[in-house]
Amino acid sequence: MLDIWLGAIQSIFNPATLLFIWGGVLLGVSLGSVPGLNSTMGTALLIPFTFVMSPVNGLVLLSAVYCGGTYGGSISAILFNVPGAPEASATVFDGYEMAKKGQAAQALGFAIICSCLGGLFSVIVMILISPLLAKIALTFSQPEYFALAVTALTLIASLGGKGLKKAMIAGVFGLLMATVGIDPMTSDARFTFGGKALIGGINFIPAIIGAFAVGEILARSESAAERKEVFLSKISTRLPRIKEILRMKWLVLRSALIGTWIGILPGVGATTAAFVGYAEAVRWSKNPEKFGTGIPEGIVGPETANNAATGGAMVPLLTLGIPGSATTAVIIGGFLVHGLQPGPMLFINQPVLMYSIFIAMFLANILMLFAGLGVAKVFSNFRRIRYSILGPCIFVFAAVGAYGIRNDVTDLWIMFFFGVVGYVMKKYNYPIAPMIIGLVLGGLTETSLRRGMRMADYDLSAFLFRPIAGIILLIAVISILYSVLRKKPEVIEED
Amino acid sequence: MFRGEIIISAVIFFGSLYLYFESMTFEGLDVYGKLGPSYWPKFLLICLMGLSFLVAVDAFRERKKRSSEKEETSKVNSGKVRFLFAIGFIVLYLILMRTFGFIILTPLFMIAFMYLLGERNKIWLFGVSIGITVIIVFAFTKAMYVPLPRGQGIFLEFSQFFY
Repeated sequence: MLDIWLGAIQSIFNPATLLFIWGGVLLGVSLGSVPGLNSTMGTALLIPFTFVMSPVNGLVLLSAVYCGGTYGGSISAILFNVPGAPEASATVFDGYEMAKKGQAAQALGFAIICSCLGGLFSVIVMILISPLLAKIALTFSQPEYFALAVTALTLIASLGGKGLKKAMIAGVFGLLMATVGIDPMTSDARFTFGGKALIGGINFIPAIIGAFAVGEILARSESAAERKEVFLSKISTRLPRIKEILRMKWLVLRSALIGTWIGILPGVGATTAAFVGYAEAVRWSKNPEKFGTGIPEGIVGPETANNAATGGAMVPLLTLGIPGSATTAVIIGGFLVHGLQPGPMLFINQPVLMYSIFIAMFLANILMLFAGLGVAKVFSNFRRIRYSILGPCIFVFAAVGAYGIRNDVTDLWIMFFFGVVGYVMKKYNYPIAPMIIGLVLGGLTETSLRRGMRMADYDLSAFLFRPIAGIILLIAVISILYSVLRKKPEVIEED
Repeated sequence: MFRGEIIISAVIFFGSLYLYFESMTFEGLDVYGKLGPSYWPKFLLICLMGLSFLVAVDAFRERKKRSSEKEETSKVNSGKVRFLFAIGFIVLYLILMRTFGFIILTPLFMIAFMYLLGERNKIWLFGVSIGITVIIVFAFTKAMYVPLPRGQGIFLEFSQFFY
């Protein structure tokens, strides 16, 4: 075990890898702080670039962008009342109110410290339970994988926009898109319409790039009237004193636990964690009526929880190969481009890589502190880039990224198709994340169901009587009931 | 909004119906017994049809609830025109990519797209479009050895001058 840790430390602590971590955090915070850009899009756009990197460098870069991006959204949420990323939506409630009272510097300080603490807590949890969970996962057979995939798919319902039905349509559409191409079990061509272009299936990276980046560009082209931004001449951050943090230690710990747990649940990401973190902060407060008027507790709750969800979301990805959020679904692409399949076998075949990711995420959460301070300062300048310039640049990078996967123009058309789909979904409040998770999990769901049913002689009840599969399916049922019965918060976006 | 919701529901419903009939042709090599290649797609398509119907019902209910409010007018505004032009530019860019290649087409596309989105400063228009193209060509083809479309005929010869 010690030699694995030493190997991981050796692979991380070299100038190039440290530079990738620092660059990833900086890029993540920058992307997260600009509305319309987020860590999901950032990681999707970066995947083609990781082609030429070593697996360690490529994956630590993506992980660092993920950590940084989750925090970055709070900067514009606090300063301009516009969450830079969906996971910062709950930060707006008290963050902007504090800024209006002239306490923007303090609000930014609380956001960054709590993001950092939440992230570090979840990474420690990830280090402690991931190897254990991976050992259990090695005993899994087809029914267990099917049960897991179903659980992930049922939990994505809670990512839903304004309705469960639309989220389900998005998820089922993603699953359907995953069936395009050669059937892995019988070699039948499905939905290829007699052509060769789709025979290899729909590569989900161009689909992700299209749905998030191109969809956003199309939406912005429709409302291209330049926004009148309110620029702050000087933005600085005042970090809270240790005494102030200690005063809220239980709130921080509770929010970190909530965020980590929600992150671990497959398909539920940082956005849900932030809202639950905020709601619990209100519930446990002695002065709940003060929330929404601009108090630090209203920032500490969601910001600790959403960054705690980042480490949590990596747990199912690394141990079971199923994403815990939209961004981790994209990060799967980072593994696949290097010929790696995330899952329990990676802990056996690539242990140094796994532990390198743990260390990189730990470092990323510390470096985020410095990146956050810097980005907040230059933020007003960054936002001066007009979308009329930024949009076409993003599109060209997206196109090159999609093309670079297989050097095939078909992928550009897939990107465009999903761009239009993403635009329509955005316009009519269909959440995009369930579609992506459906697309990513579609293959696993179908093959594990069909193989498992064949193993069980086409008796579905056999799935229920296997202890692990039965328990996981029970969790799936509970999560469906929870999604249907719970009162949804008004603002829910995809992670 | 109501009309859009209904159109989308109809597209999903009838599209799924069409694909359902398409999936009936997958039965050729059904060696996996009861769960052949069409089983899973058919199940998903039935789900999609059912869900799209329910979303349409919700849209009707919502309209009934808001019957007092005015339905939005469907006049063609500048945003819609700009959106259609954006779609047109992208389609044209993708179609012409094979013929013209990346290095010639991209600056032209970027200039047109930036102009469409409201950019009028010539220095930005030309500087950014040429600058970004040069950066991408060098970053991808020279630093990362990822080939970019070169085009055909004379355009191929021009592209080969750079990568």
